Amino acid sequence: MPSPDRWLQWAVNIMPKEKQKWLVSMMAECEQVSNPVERQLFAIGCFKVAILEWARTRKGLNYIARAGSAFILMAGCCMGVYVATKSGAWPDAIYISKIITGLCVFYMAGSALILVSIKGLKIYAAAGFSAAMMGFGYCRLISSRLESLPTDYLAALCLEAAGLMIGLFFAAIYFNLLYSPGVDDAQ
Amino acid sequence: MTRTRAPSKSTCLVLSELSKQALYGYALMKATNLKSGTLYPILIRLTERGFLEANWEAPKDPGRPPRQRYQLTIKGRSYAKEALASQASKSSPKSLANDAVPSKLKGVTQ
Repeated sequence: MPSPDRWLQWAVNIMPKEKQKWLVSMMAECEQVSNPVERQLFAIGCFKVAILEWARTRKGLNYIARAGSAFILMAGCCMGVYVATKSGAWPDAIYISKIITGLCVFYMAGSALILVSIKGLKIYAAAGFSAAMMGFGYCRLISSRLESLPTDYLAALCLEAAGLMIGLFFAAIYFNLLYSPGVDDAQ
Repeated sequence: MTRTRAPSKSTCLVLSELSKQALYGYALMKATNLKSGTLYPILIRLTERGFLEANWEAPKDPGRPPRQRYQLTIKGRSYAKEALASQASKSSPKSLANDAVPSKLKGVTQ
């Protein structure tokens, strides 16, 4: 179990900047707690407060919304695949579920990438990757030589990835324009 | 636009204790029997809405960090009165017998 100081340090890292004064106040109160167990619980409580406050920020809500929607989509797809596989009544369901599952995987990966590294993203890398994925997807659509996976399934994954990367590309341009060093320095 | 909704039982407990006297965070935890993870979000919300003010106070013992003491503002006092009164009126006689919170609030609203 991490020490109270460690919990508080984590809380400091998570807490939004404008609420840091509250953590200072909590840390001062934590100093007053002499019982080690109580102190531990107090520090865990501070960590919980930091997470809750982070979750209320725009960034936190964004993460939660994306993660939540991706999770629901994935859960729906898994259920679809399971039901279709078990019953066998509707073979097309397997195919559709596989496509949607693939889309969801790329949705989550793309979202994570956008959220984590949008400002540090290399625009050219995004453009190159999206072009490559689109090309690969197109090739898979028109070719049926490889039979390991359904052609349309792979193509759908690639096109979805390309779509996300194109979105990422334009987002990167937008953010680079919006948060240019000059603008950041001026603020 | 801000949402206005009835305060929770925990919020009422905090308001009840603070309407008696200004308290430090740890003392408030002890008085209300709330955990820090529950108490501080309430204090943050109340402060944001202007019902509470937090004053830094110099430590009595040297080497200790300064502490914040919380007290209700004028706006907070009237809010506490309303909140505690509505909380008390909501509670039925049956729940008053079973629940410690409304019985605690009863004395404050009178």
